[in-house]
Amino acid sequence: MEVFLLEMKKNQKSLWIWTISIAIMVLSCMLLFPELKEQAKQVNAMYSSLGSLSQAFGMNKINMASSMGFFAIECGSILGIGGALFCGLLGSGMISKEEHMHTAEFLFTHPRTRGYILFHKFLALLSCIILFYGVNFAISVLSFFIISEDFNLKKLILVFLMQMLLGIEIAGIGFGVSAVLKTSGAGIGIGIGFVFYFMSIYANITNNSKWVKYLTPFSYADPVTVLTKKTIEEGYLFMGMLYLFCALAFSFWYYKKKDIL
Amino acid sequence: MNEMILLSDVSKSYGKARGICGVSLKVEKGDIYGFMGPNGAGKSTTIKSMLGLITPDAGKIEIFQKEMRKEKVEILKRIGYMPSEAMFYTGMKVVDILNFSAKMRGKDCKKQQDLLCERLDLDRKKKIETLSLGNRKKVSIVCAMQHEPDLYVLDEPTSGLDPLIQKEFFDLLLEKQQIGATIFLSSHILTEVKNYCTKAAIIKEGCVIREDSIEHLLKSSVRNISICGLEEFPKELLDNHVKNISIEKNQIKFLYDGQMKDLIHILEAYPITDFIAEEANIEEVFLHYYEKEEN
Repeated sequence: MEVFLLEMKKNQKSLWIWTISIAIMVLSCMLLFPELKEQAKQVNAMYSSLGSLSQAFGMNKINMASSMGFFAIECGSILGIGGALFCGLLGSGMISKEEHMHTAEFLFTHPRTRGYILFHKFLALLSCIILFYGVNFAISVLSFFIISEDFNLKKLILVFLMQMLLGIEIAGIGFGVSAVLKTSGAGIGIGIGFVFYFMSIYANITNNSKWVKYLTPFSYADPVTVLTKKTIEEGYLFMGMLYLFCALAFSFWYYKKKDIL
Repeated sequence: MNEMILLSDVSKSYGKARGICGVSLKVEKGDIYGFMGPNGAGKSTTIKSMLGLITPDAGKIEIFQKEMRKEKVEILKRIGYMPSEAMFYTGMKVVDILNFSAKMRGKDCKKQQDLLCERLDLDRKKKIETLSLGNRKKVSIVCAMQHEPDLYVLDEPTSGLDPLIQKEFFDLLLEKQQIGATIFLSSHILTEVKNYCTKAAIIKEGCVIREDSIEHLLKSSVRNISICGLEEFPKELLDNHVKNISIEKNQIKFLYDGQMKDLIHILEAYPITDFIAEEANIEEVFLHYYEKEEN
């Protein structure tokens, strides 16, 4: 457990900065809802008439005048992109930072297999992601109470669960890339998050490239999708978990034999 | 069979770049073994292969008579390693790093840790990022020694340490050797190797060119030659046996490790006025190996 505790300690600053920043943004956004509700009809009409833009962000599918609808569009974007970037960054630096910061010689000459060390790093990664989404869930629930608006708890839990799986998938892919890198991986981590996000926007707009939806975790985790569809998008979720599994398996396999220079 | 380290024909290349080729060496229990060579010779590659950080392309690495490839975790339990770069995690205190290292070994190292920190004058409450290189090296020393390993592998251990701490460090090593530990250290400091090591190996361009006891190395056949009366260096002497040529005023000096009768035979044809042959000191012996060959 020493490696797990070490990683939790090392990442706590970054974890809390990101968690609190996103939580503040989500809360601030929700606090705007009561005012926006007054102009609900006009807002809805405007938002759903923006053509491709409406389609890209799912504004044509959901009622922004409802608290859950508003949450899905506004806070969903904040949480979606914020979570993707945080998880991408965290995952892609998890292994590579040891070589980047020259601490690998210290860490990997202890009497533990590389698999053991990587496993506990991944556990720490998971724990950070659970904390990130857990706190944001709590803040979101709190925000509904503050603005005295109704919300569907079951649906909200489902939204956060899917978002968390998105985060885990992105972090896992970053983890796989991190096994190969010797640099900090920050650029790649952020890149992964953005690429997946823009893939989802692209897939929303076009009708010809629906296969792209199988590539990005936003297909199953987008709050608008979760709230408007009757069931979860199993096909996209399955592919997402498959990518996660492959990335993790690759990282363990590759790092076992990697030369640490 | 009291071999602690046995490297048999170990090779490693990085693509087209040469790493090490056919390195063989033997370290026995109780040795203080010096490993020397110029920058880029392959010292770090050899050491990292011994610790399982690098997988060699060929050859066998046995430590405590166990193969590194198969029993890495068991072997690492009994090794104390000090990397040349003493880098640790920022945002943590010295005591956190030391305790982490102890926990990773599943050992209670408190007593040894206290002792070592006192002798090396290391403040455990300080944060890693506030430490100088010398103090980070001290952290590295404590990490390597607190679990009382059977084998110490130290990569340039004294670089960055002040002379008092250097002495304390070697005193500690000698104490460990007295109670049965074996020490393998790489160093550029010739006096260190001369004063403390029992054996040494010299690596150059990826190959071990000499491995012997310090006693034999000091008694080596390298001679410091001074000739007077010549204006130019004799062309016939420009071969592998001559190193470190210096020409001052009327005197030509060089290191020579060939047959003395061959040297005299060549010099007979020249109008030399004086000839002095002295035993080379340890620095000159090693420099003889360090220098690139004359063309």
